[in-house]
Amino acid sequence: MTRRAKGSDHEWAPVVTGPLRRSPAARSHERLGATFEIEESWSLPMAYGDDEAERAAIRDAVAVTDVTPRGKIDVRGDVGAALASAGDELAARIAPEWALVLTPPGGEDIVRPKLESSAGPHAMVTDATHLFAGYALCGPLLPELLARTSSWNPATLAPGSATGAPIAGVRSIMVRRDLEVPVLEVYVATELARYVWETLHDVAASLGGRAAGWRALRAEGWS
Amino acid sequence: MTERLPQREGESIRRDKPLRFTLDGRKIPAFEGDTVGSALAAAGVDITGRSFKYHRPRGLFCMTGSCPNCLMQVDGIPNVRTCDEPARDGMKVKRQNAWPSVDRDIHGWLNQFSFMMPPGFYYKVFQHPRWAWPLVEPFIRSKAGLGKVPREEDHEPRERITLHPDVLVIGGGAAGLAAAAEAAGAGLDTLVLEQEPEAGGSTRRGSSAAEGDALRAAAESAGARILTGTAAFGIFEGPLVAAASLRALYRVRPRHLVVATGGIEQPAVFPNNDLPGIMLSSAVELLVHRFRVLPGRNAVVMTSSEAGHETARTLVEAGAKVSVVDLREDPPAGVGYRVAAGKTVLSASGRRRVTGVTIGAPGGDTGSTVGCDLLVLAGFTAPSTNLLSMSGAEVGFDEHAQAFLPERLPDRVYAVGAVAGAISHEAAVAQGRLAGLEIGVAQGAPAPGAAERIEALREAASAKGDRVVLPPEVGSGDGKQFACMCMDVTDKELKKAVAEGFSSMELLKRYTTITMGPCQGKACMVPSQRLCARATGSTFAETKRTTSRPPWTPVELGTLAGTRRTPRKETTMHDLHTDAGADIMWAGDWRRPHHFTTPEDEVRAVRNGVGVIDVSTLGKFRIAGPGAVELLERLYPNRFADQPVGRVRYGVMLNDEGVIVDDGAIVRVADDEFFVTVTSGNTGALERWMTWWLADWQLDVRLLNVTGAFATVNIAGPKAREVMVRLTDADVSAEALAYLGSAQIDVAGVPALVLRIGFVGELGFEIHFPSMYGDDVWARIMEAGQETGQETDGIVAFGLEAQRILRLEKQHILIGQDTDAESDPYEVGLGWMVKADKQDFLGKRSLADLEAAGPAERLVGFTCAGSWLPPEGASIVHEGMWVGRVTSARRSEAVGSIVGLAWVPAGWAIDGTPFEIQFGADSAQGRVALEPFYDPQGQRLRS
Repeated sequence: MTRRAKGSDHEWAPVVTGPLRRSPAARSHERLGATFEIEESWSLPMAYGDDEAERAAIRDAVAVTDVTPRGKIDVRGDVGAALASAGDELAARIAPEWALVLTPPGGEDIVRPKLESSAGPHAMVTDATHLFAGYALCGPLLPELLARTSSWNPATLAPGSATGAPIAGVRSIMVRRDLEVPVLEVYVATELARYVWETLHDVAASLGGRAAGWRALRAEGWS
Repeated sequence: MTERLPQREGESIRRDKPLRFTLDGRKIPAFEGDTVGSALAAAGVDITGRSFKYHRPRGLFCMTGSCPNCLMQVDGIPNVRTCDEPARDGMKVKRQNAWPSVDRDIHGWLNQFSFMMPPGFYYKVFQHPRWAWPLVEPFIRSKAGLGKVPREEDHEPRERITLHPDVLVIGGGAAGLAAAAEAAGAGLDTLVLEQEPEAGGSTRRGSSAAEGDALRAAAESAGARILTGTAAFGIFEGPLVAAASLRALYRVRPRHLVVATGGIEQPAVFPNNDLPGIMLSSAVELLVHRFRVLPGRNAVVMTSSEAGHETARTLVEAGAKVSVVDLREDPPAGVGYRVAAGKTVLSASGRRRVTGVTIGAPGGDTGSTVGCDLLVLAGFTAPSTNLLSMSGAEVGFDEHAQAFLPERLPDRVYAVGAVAGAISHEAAVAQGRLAGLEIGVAQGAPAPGAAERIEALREAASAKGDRVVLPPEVGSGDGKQFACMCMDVTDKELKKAVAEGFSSMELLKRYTTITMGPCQGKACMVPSQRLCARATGSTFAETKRTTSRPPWTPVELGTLAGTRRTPRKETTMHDLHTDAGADIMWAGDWRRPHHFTTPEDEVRAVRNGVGVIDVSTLGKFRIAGPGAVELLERLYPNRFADQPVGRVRYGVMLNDEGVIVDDGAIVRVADDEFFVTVTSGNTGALERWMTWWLADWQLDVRLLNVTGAFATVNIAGPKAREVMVRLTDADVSAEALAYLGSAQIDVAGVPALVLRIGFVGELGFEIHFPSMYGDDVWARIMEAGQETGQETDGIVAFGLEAQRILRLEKQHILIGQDTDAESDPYEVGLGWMVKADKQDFLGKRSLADLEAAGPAERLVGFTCAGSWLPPEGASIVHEGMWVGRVTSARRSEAVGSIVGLAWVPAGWAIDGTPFEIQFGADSAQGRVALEPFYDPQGQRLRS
């Protein structure tokens, strides 16, 4: 179980040992021509062959990025004490007794122990990284994409807030994180990940949008 | 009438862009901007269709999609309203409901036999002999009806779009556009739905098109979005407004709703009022002003208002000879046309087109006949309140307007324009502006000077015109007088139905089908109400309208269905299964491998070597907190308080009635934490079930559905341990990890929870690990499994079918397959699980009663000789009576016969009891087998 990271086609790339984590939609990314790089045992869809077009989609249309590798920690119950130790990580408060803390890939292993140690006996902290697949939807045509995939009203969600809402006919957690363009992160059950990716990508494409890799997304300021 | 009127400003057609389409194979010239209807009128096509029942010739009547006369098959799509269907080059248009052609329809003879088709036709005739009905029905159906449903599949994509504007305006006429301009001007997100290809409403039809254009420009420049060609067809609670365009279904949830649906011109009822050449003034105005077609050269205009005189002037200006018949005693004098005051049209005559009318005093029997090729019915407008009524508005009769107008509106719903009784363009615009300004104030975004403008607009908005005069309810003379042109219902038929006791509009609707046709009451509600009132001796005001229901305008089924996207669940190892050639099947909403090679080979591999199955679909819950034990004690009849940490227990969950709702494994992973598995298809329901009880009992417990977080595989077979030792450094010996034990260890380099359980009756390891490692872990298992293959072929992936055979050989039940909505633990042989001495648990009281009564039926295993495999659901019969059923049956190589599970009378639950199984003409003898067919002592499972 060895493989090369950071540009697996190059012989100079370092050898990575151990099992890899892949998004359930990885095959769909392969079919779209994605190149993958390894970070924190994740195989990330880094680009789809045209960074400029991907960045243009983020800025001018709508782009869909698979951000499943994000660390996700589910906190239930009396979440206040636990969230106080979340530091700079994004804590999405979905309901009074439910929050999702989002970290960069691999960050869950660092943040979860902190949350657990500060959570009281009336809270449950669970590593939900594998429970949800996540997709970042970015661009000025985001409202158009949502109008075609959700009955939820995005205007009800302020930047930095989170809520439970349907997308593509299934339940999801939506976290609004506007950059210079509207950005919504959508988290759905892992078992529905590919279906939701295909739906979002198809609709985005019908609006002139496309899949964007992590490189383009990061270049536009997302982290 | 094959020529257009001279070109002029404001016309819709582009004379520099000619096109052609075909009508029943005949080439029809048109211009871009034409509708099919306008092009047909220009080409002199009088008959656009045949009526539904009597096959009478019908022609263009309304030009606004409000009547059934122009329904045609367009490029294969039936019942398209061609009067407002844009003409396209090359389109194929066919007229409907006629043979061999609409112009020479042989079924026109039905018109002479209308006495054989009275109201309630289907209820009255062909009742006897009953055998004749199947012979008659196809004949009747072939003679009546609309277009033909296309046989080809429709692959056109249809979107579903949900919008949440601050303000939704239904109707892009003058009032709607004025409201939109004000609301958008106040900074509100404003959307206008207009069913016509262009906004402007009635301004498009007459000479005031410029005013409509100005209003539209003002609304758009203020920021309002106008969706043309998009008809609202229903309003539901919320309000939720449903609308459809050619390729999209809209679900709009506005904060404020402005209904500006205008008015609908109504026909008058008199003999032969359905002849081609009889038109509403809206149609004439559109044809002349927008499409530059003169629909007749010798016209009679019947009216009681200024609208008729305006149409008369339009026709005179276009070169027609015109006579006006005005119901009023002192109408204005005509300029360029004659006016008959205090008169009405008593009847019309003609065969394929109107050729004359009889004019006389209202209510009279005689009059003078005037030749004409066009009869225009002008100004008899009814407010289009149906959508408003769907929103919850109440309407009441207004004597002055002789119409039903909104009396009470729900919060945040506004009615403006003709639908609210506005009688002039100025009043309609004022009402629209008023609503837009008031919404801005209500939303906390008042436009500059809003308060002053609101006050100033109130007077103009409430202006009333002259009292409306309606035409007589009926005419006089020979010929059918149609109240409902969609369903061919006449005044006589309504009168007869009332005499038979159907004396209200709702009853008449159901008995005669009035208002149930394609127009949905647009062109027949008012005439029917007035005829109902006349027949019952009541007044128009007292006769209630039928309930307004969606769809108010027709919607294609494909639009309602939308683009089909079926949510499907896949495990994270799904792609590897398909790579391996698995035959994938639906299992609930999951996609799962049915088999990889053959079920028989896979069973053999598990029994003799080792197999692996992806069971990630199992529902999984993390339950933690000080009250976790108490929660499980209450949810299950089993005991958990004494369950050691690290041990696994099998449990069945019951409902209040003691009925089994699920089963699964419960692992105690810490003193106050459990990992619970449930059946794949029940996960969502059980999450709701457990959450509901948790809330009710208010226990200090957190519960999380972690189904997708963990991929799960079961490595099973006598060589399973050999595979495991290649996957982990942990001790997985029988001593260290015994049957019903669990361990949290690394497997294939990944942290995992391993349970020593097995559904298939062999040494088994159920491994739960973080799901997104699925690809690598599965690959590693297969790699390790191949290393065990010296004596066998190595590890074999097996699918659901092999699992079903294997579990059946062990008589392991499948909840939902072998149990039903009445099965309790005693009946299925799980009574040992019930700890009746526990303080309380769901179903305890019911189980006590069930145990005392004893089971009436038992679920038992059975073997079956012979080659016939009883299907699931096959009957078990005794002396010709049904006494039970087969729930599962498979051929078992290990047992050497067919094995299965079946419900039988409790008294038969004795080893070896024979019984008869029947399914259709097939039958076989089964024999009860109470012990598992394979490894009855469970030694292999525990090894």
